[in-house]
Amino acid sequence: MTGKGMMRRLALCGAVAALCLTGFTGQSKADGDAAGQVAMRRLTQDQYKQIINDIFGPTVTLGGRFEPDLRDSGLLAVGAAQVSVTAAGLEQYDLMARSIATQVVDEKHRPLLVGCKPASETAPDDACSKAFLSKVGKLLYRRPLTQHELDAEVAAANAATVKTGSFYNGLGLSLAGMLEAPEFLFRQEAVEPDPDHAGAYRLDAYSKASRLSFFLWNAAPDPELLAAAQNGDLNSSSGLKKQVDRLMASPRLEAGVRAFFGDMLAFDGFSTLAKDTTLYPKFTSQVLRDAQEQTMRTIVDHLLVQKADYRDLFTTNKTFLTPLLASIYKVQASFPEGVQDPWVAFEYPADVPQAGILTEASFVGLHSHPGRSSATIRGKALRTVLLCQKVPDPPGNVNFNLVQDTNNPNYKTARQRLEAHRTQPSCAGCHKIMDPVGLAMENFDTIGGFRTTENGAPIDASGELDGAKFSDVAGLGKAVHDNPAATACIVNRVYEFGAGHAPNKSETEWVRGTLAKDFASGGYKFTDLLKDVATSDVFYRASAPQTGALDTPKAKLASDVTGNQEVQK
Amino acid sequence: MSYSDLPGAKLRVGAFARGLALGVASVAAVGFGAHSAQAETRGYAVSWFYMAAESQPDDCPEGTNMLSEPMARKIMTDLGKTPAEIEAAFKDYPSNMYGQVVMRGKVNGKPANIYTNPTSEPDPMVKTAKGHVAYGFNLDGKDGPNDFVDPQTGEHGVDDMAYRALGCFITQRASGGQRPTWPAIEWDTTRDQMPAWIIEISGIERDANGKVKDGDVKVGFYRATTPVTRNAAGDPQADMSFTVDTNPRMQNVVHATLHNGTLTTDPFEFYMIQDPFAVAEYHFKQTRVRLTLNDDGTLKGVLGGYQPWLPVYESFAVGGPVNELNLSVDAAGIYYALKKLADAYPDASGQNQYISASYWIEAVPGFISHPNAEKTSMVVGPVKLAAAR
Amino acid sequence: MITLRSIDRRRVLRGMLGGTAVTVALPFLDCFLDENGTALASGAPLPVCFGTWFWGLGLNPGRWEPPTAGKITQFGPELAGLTPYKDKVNVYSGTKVILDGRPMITHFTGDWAVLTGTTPREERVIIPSVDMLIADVIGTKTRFRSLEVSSTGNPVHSYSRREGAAINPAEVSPAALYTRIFGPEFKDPNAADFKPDPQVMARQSVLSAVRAQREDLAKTLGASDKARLDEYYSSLRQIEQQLDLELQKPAPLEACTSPDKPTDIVLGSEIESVKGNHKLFAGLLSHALACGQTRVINVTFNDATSSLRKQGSSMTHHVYSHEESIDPVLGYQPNVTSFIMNISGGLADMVGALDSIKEGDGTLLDRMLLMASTDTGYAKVHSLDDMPLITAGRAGGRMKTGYHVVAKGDPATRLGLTVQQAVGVPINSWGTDSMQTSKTFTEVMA
Repeated sequence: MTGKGMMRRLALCGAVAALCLTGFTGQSKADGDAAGQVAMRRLTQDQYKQIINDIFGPTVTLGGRFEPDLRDSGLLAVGAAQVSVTAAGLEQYDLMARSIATQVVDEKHRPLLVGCKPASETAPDDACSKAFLSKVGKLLYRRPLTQHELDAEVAAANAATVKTGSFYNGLGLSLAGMLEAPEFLFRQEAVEPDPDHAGAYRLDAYSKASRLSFFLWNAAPDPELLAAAQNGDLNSSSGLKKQVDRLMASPRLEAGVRAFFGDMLAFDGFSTLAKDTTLYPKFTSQVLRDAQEQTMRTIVDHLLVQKADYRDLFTTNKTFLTPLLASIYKVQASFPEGVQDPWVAFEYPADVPQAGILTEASFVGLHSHPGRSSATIRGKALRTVLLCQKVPDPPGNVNFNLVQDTNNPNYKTARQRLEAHRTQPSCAGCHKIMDPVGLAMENFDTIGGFRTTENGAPIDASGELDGAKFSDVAGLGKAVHDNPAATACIVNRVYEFGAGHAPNKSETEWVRGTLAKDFASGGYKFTDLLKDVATSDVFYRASAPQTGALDTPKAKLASDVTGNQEVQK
Repeated sequence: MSYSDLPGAKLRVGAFARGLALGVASVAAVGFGAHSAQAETRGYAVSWFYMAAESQPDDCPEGTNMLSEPMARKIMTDLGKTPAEIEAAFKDYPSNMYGQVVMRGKVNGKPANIYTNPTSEPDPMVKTAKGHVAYGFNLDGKDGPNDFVDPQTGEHGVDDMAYRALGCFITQRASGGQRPTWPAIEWDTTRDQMPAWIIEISGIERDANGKVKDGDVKVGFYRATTPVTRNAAGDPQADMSFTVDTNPRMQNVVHATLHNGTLTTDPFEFYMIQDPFAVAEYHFKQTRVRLTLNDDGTLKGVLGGYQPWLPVYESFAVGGPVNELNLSVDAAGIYYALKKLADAYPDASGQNQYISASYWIEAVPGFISHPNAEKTSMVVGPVKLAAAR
Repeated sequence: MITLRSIDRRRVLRGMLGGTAVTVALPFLDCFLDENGTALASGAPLPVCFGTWFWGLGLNPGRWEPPTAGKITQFGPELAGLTPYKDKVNVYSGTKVILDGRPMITHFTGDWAVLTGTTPREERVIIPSVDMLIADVIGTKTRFRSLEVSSTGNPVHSYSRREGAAINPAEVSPAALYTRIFGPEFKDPNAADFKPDPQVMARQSVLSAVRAQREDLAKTLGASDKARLDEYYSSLRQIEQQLDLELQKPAPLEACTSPDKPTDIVLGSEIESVKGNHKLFAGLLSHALACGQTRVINVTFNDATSSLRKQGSSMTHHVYSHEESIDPVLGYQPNVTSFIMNISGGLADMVGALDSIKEGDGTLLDRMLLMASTDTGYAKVHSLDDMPLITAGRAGGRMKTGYHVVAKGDPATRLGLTVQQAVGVPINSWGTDSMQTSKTFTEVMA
């Protein structure tokens, strides 16, 4: 970049600081073309684990590692549409697949999980293989297997049985093959013409079932939902509503809500979070787990149990604590005795600044250095995670020599240390967006412990968020509560999480229009938002498919176990 | 001899009544920046309790007591073993020795267990500390030749005969802020399962700058219902919440004077259950405690008083040969030394039953709540003190 | 002479085994090694290997490069750890990364411009890194196409990318890497006998069934999904290849010894852990190379944003780089430089591990080409000038070593071009826009 170009860029940033915040991150950057296009999404770690648990039960262990998920447009759920599987990743999937399959067919599990018995344990048995593989295949692939697929699976099982002389071994290897196949690892969404809207397309029934189930439960469709797909219920609005109501009434809704907020709040960062234990000996691995769980419980209680206003998450003084968390926050709480790691509901008194999830260790601790707090990181996180705003990158070749006061390098508080961020024009433009917000949280050290001074000097937690001024972190919570970007952000994220992409033009019109308005007029109830998305037309609409897929005759579906012919489309 | 016969019983009852009167949930508020003019109550969990020492080079003019290896050799020799037998036994030192040293006493010519029967051998005359520097208090108001000078306060006439008895064993010696080896191990090993000792100071007032003002405070030493939790560094986690165990025998409440950030209590009787691995119960008469309220919220100070000497002996004896040979102590020798140097509360025969002793207390901040009066924990019956010999 | 191509091993084995386990000696592989175990009998030397070694936050300008161009007589203080290997390494100074109007994404632009040849337009990498381009040429016949490790405990700290946005995840646990390479599925090249496992053949037939669905699946997908599906099948090919290799008796490799299983040091960014785990990785990877398990390795010492820290300190390497003042007497930032010295010590450990494995008259390092790069020329100001670049190893004789090359103002891609050519990638130029170059470092090409 030329000197002039750089100066121009800096001037722009400095002069129009507020405009540096682009509203939404807009289009998914996948291929530059259609957002709203259905894309196959790789299962996330949690989804994979949940599906195995649902189908095979909690006693089957995984035995492998997952390659990292990718975050795009603020969510791993959107990044899932960008990634494939690397060689190292597939090596691990292969290991896990074989480990799971071995357990499923072992003597302990096979009576329940396989069900049928072969005529001989050392030879192929088509009937039993067919029964098992079609039953399991439907749950794994989230749709019935085609005849061709089922035949291929049975043939594979037979070949493996012949080579190794064991029916169960062969069956297990075929199952392992399915567990590492793209049909399992990727959520494919099939598209068909929409009979209710000429020229438009919609997801087919099984794809609807998948989208709905992953949205509300973060899991693959259960047999009842698959049946509703099979018999056409999901294509009628009353049939869809019935399933939505069922899924939302279920205790499994909590898993879906946890998955959503875990993604939005970037809790995957906890797996590599480290704090210096010499400086902060209170921070043990148990505290790490407790911190995440605290915020999850607060959210679940507030949004699902109390069905309270979403915005109040930033101001509520109700939370849940364990003995270790109480010691981090330096509050007195009483806990039942004799219980391992007990949780109690806790309410902060009205006159303390602790209120809302911004003051919980999962926010202030996750967005901090190992050895000290960071106003800039926290301010940036608040903007990007909770307000869906983008903070521009720093300019190139910033000369830090200009900003270093070599006479007095020892500032006592973060506010003093970040002085240069505010006063140097090339820095201020963007740091104005982050620092004043983050400095409000300086009363919380890097592990979430409350403090009133830093290095002996009192902490000044006053600041400003998009024009709203505050004098402490409780005021910041209120400013976030009142900021329209907070509610616009959650609406957008919820939609993205379910759809797997940032909304396209027509989707955005609806998301920012009807959906957001209904959210507001209904009192910002999160369950209403979920329901509105899940029962909408838009959610299941698809852009025209790119390939000649619709010219290909739909594959004949395999007969199911009872011999009932499945619906041929 | 039963508990209620002891002279301090009256004081105990009074303390008990006061303890109950403190009643319901006291809010130990950690001020969110507000410096209130009202009195504050602060809670703490004891992180360390161990015999205090500021060992001096001139404590042991004849040298410290024998280390375990020479001691074991001497025991074997006295038992009549030949040099060859001794060398063979030393091949797997110290485990081969354990059996030998246990039965080194003699009653009616037959071998006797030295720990249950320390007088079954003659007094080994262990070396005792002769120096004059030790932490503590002048408990009897007199300044005699056996007393010490406290290096922290400069107080003369400090009574700490337990240090004299034990101070020439290397695992009991320490100086410059170090913790003596065995007392530190005793405490550290037991605190994971032992319900925490907690301290509550009420009536603290602060000036406009937040500094603690001189004045009167009330100090309560209680046992909690849960142990301390260890943090990542292995020390007790600060700011944990504790509930007071309502056992009436462990409500030690006393008035204290706060001056320049350090409080000093009036004399009182102190009773706390610890752990049989160390000392099952600590019982001090004429107890004085001073505690400094540090800026970081921790406490550090000294407790001095007269404690029954027999349980002190028992804390060495209970580990038997493992203690003797790994800590280089002579249990029987300690018995005789404690008995000789005990300096208070004579029995009918004139033998003193109590010995003066000083302990360090260190504590981290914590929250204390008192349960409702209705909810009481099971009251433990009086503990029978072993008959002094 | 029988050539490798003319026999489909799988076909042969199927016929021979027919489902029964038989001890099979495959003489046509043995004969390819000469008596010294240093070359295949066809006369080709032991294969060339390649590696990248990444560290974050650069070095202090003027304190790393040798004082003169040409043969290295001594290094700057920050690379002094390489002195024992001065005849086996090259240092390249003066190169830069050119932005061309694209944003300066701190701790991102520099690393990726050097490793992919293109200055990124946004914070994502969509073209393959140089190690992948090389692995496609030299890594297609080994059990692992490449191995990625990170000493920081975070699998995302990997500087190896295929096309698309996916990271090739890094192993973070030396113990887990050991199990992956030398665990139950390791076929010792020097083992006396060999039994092909029917289970492996059974697994192969199952994976064939997975592959067979490819056509039907791809029919229903859009273009970008198809590309991602293709990537999946490339990865599947790797697994199939591993199974193929498991069914063959591997050629003996004299220098191959199985290491002991290491014990992880606590995983994380604390400097002692990083150094310790890095050393374990260096040893494991050297053995993996010597045993022919892979020909491409990618090592991250610390990430571009360097969260390296010292126990008990509230400041990370990164924070120091911006906040620490330059000591007026020393002329540099003392704490930052202390981290730098640890990092360059790590590089010396890596080079040393490769050099410690004897092969014939030389060492593994002689047939290795390790490229060490970073994200910035001067971390304090995020500079992209004077990017530190170092190579170690002679690439099997294709490279001359012991030189300091000064290339003032040239794009850093000159090195990426040079290393690819040295290991045999048939290209004449590399990079895009202002980072495009066709100027090989001929001073160091043999």
